[in-house]
Amino acid sequence: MNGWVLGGTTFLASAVEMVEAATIVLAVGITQGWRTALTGAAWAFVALAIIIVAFGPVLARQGAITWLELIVGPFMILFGITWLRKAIWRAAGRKAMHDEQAIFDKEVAMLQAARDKRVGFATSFQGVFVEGLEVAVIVVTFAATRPALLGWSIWGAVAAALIVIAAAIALRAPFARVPENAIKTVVGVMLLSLGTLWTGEGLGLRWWAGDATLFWFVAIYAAAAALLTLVERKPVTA
Amino acid sequence: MKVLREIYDFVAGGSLAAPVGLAVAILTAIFVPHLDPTVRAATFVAIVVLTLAAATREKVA
Repeated sequence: MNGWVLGGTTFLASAVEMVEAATIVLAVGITQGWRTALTGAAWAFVALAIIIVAFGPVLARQGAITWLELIVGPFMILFGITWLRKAIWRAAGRKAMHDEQAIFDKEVAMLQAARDKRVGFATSFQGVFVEGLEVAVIVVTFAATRPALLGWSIWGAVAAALIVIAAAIALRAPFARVPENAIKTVVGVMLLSLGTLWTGEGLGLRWWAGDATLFWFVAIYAAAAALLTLVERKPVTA
Repeated sequence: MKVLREIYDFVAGGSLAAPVGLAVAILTAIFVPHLDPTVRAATFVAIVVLTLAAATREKVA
């Protein structure tokens, strides 16, 4: 398994979640000051780091990978299906696209009405923690199945978080033009593919191309997602 | 109950088809050991693809 595959997956997952978190931090920063916003975000990052440090190395040290793959693999498949079906629904027009500007406006209105710095701190903390929790779980599960590549998945997630937060602070505007749905589709396909590979290994299935079968899964699930988007697309009414 | 519901929503995104389909895929792989290994692996992937399709056909969450 290539470190770039795991690092790239956590990078994209983290990027898309941090775009959503940055919108909330930005709203807090503009309405209640950057100190409140960044303190809340920093504490959320500490909490997420504790989760990764507490569980990642422990799982990475386990000798018997097989039973871990049987636990982690199905979780990855379920995560992948959840990400992918939402992306398909959005691409097909069954669910509204994620509108960062609308979310930003709603958060600003709520924070202006509240005026309490504690609400700002809690909003910033919760925004980063909730969005980052799924990424932390993904990093920890990657550590369980491919311990040698733990560093790749952690740095993938951290790099994306730093880039997105820095860009948000520099731009002082929500990321309305980021192709979130396309990124979510890629992450969904990757999670589903990795989950399939690991669950199969845990079950003792013999993949026809070894670890390289992952690329078959990527092609199969990407094709399935494209087909399902066409099937689910709402008919246009005049 | 609320905590279980939260965990279920976090892991399966509120989908019923996803966990059921995944259970079918796993049980099929376990209880059909006499199949050719490649066919067994392909069957597992096919059931996961059908699970994705079924989860996508569910009501929008």
